[in-house]
Formats: sequence, C-alpha cells, structure tokens
Amino acid sequence: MTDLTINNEKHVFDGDPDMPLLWYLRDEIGLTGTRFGCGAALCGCCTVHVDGEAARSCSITMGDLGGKSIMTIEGLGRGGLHALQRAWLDIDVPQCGYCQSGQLMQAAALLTANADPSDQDIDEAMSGNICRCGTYPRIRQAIKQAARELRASGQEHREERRASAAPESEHGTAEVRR
Amino acid sequence: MNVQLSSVTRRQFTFGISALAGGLVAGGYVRGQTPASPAIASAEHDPEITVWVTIDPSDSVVIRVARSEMGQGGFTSLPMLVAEELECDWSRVRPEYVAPTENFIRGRAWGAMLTAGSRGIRDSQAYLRKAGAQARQMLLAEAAERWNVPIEQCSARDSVIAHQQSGRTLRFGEVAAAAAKRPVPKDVVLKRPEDWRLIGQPVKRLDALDKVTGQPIYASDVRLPGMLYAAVAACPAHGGKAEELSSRSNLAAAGRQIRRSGWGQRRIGGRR
Repeated sequence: MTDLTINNEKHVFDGDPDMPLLWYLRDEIGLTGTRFGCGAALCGCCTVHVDGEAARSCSITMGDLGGKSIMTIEGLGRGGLHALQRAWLDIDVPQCGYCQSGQLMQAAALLTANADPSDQDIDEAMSGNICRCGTYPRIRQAIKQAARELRASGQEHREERRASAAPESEHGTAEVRR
Repeated sequence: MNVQLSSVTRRQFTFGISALAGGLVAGGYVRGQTPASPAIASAEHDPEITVWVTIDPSDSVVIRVARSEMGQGGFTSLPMLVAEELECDWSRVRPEYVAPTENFIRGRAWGAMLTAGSRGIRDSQAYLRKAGAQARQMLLAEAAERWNVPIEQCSARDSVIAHQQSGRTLRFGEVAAAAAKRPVPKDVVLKRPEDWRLIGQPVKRLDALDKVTGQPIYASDVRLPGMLYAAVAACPAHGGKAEELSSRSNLAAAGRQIRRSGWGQRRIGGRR
C-alpha cells in the first residue's frame, strides 16, 4: 500500500510495488502526457518531478514513492501555462514533440534550483534529455526567456508587496505553482 | 483534449480527434465503428465546402490533413496551401486529420495518405491549392448569386467576400452552408506564386500547444475499450528463434494470449 500525491491529488496504490511510476501514470490513471522513451532512464523522455526534483518515471517503482509528491506535465500547466510552456510556444520549440514533456519538466526543475542559468548550467541540466529532432538550441533559448520572465515577475511581485503591504498577493505568482 | 472514444460518434471519431494523429494513421479501422452511410456531409457536421474544408457560421475553418505530422510541420504547412487559395483568415484555421478508413469509404477522396521521403508538400501542393481555390470559388458563387452580380466582380480576403462595385460584404460563415451545396468547380485558376501571402511565410506551428501540454497525440496514447496490447518477443541472439517465453515473465504470469507469428517471433497480446 503506497500513499502518494500526483498533481496535488491523493492516490492510494496497492498493486505490484515493482510497477514503474510511468506505467501507473499512463496505463492506470490515464496521464499519457508523460511519454515512454527508452524504459531505462537513458533518454529523459519520461521525466516528472518527485518532490520537486526531476526524475525518470520509467525507472522509479511505485513501492519507493510512499509519501512522495509527483508532478507531471499535466500538473505543470494546470491553472494556466507555465512560463516555460509560454516560452516554448513563443519560440516554437517542438517539432515532433515526443520528448518535449520530459524537456519541460527537466527545465522546470532547473529553474526552481537556478533562477538565472547560464548556457553551461542549461547544458548540464538538460544533457540527459535527448531530442532526436535536435531542438536543443531553441530549448536553451526558451529556458532563458522563461527564466527572464520569472525573474521579472518575481521582482514585480516583491515590489508590489512592498508598495501595497499586502501580505499575500496572488499577482505575479501564477508561474510558480507548486 | 481528452476524449472518451467509446462515447463519441463515428464522425467525431473520424475527424474530431486531431489528437490521435499517428494513431489513426497507423491503426486505422476500428472494429465496431462501421459507418451506417458513406455520406459524410450531414447536420452533425459543419458545412463541408469540399472534402478538404469545412466552415462554420462563425467563420471557423477546418482544413483536413491527409498526411502525418512527424515533426516536419506538415500539420501546419499543408493547411497553409489550402488557406492561401481559400483566402480565409489564417488565425481561425484548425487542422484535422483524415482517417484512412474515411478515405477508403469515400473513394480515396483525399488521395494518397503516405507520408514519406520528404514528399508531403511536393506531392500534394498542387491538389491542395486547387482544393482551396475550388472552395473559394463556391463561396464566391454563392455570394454573387445573392447579390445578383457577376462572380468576376467578387473577391475574397481574410474570410470576407466583397463586391467591389457596391462595397457589399459577406462573411464566409454566412454563405458556407449554401455554398456547400453548390457543385465543385472542375477548373479553377490558381494564384501566381508572386501573389502568395501565406505560403513561404514563417508561421507558428498549429500543434505546438498540444505538444507543450502533453495532450494525447501519439499512437501509444490511444485508449480504446477492450484494446489489446502487443509486444514482440524476439530471440536475443541474431538469427535465432524465440521458442519459449519465460514462465516468470510478467506477460506469462498475467496469462496473456500468446500467438506465434510466421517470423520466428511471438506476438503477445492480452486484454486489459
């Protein structure tokens, strides 16, 4: 019996604890936005967040996820597109699109840890996410654009809070939902 | 877009699920979805001007795509060829895949559906531009008749038909239903390449939103009632033949159906 949270919803899993998370997401609860790539944690296609960190869902078993909080691509865009998704659209990143859920989740984890990543930071963080179409230059460009937007809205948010002295302003936090 | 296939009509199944893309192209016919009638233009569908174009009363244009998107942008660029001649408002265009089944039923109305060899644009650009011009001509003919003016005095741009002499206008959506009943003209004059306004321009891909939000657009995302899963169990040694499936494997343990194909491999399928 495993209790876990997926996209802010509670799930109780009592099946085979060896079942990979990816199988549970796609086949059991119908969250097919997370794609199967290699099944061996080699390509990054199936990347989700486990407690906010990027992880390969094909290679994590359900038995290891007790008390964990999972976020998938469906959760990233919940309640409005994430800054990364907007940048992805603006720059027209996806070609075939198959790896892009994983790319976005990996990039989102990067921006949580590093609000202003350099080219090298991006290359290091994203090196495990393969794109056969070769969208890497646009991915890098989009990550930088989203990072700029998030930093600007964070700045704006702090200034607004100082100006209005409102304890919890909703404005400016829409991009960071977790 | 998350669609329960069991609850949709055949028509929605056929055209309404751009999401299924590769799945439909690869998988095609679905048992139990046999159509009652080969006719497709009906009340439950927006007026089909030609087989390639439907226009609803609010000027939304659906342009059908008979080739697969595999990353090269065909789901966007093929509709551009139609839209160029149709003279519709590109911002109101939505592409939809044609199902191979429907193509068979309607006598290959959409032509070849093969997507290979960098031929998607090359092989279909002539008839797609023609299809757009035919649809535009039918819309113009309907407007001209309503105004009782020669069709040559009417022109279309951004989904609006105008009569130059009188300054009158009609939106595509206002004449679409009636235009759909007119005969499809055989001969149409295509625009000269130097007059193209859309073809050759960089435009945003129409499927990008689906791709950044994880929509079910790939074959492996398709879920159908009673669907079988299949796996190929090949011999791990080159040239060898798979003889037995380990009794400890998950598939064997689950009691799935095991069928032997003619290729020295086993096809394993099981009902979920």
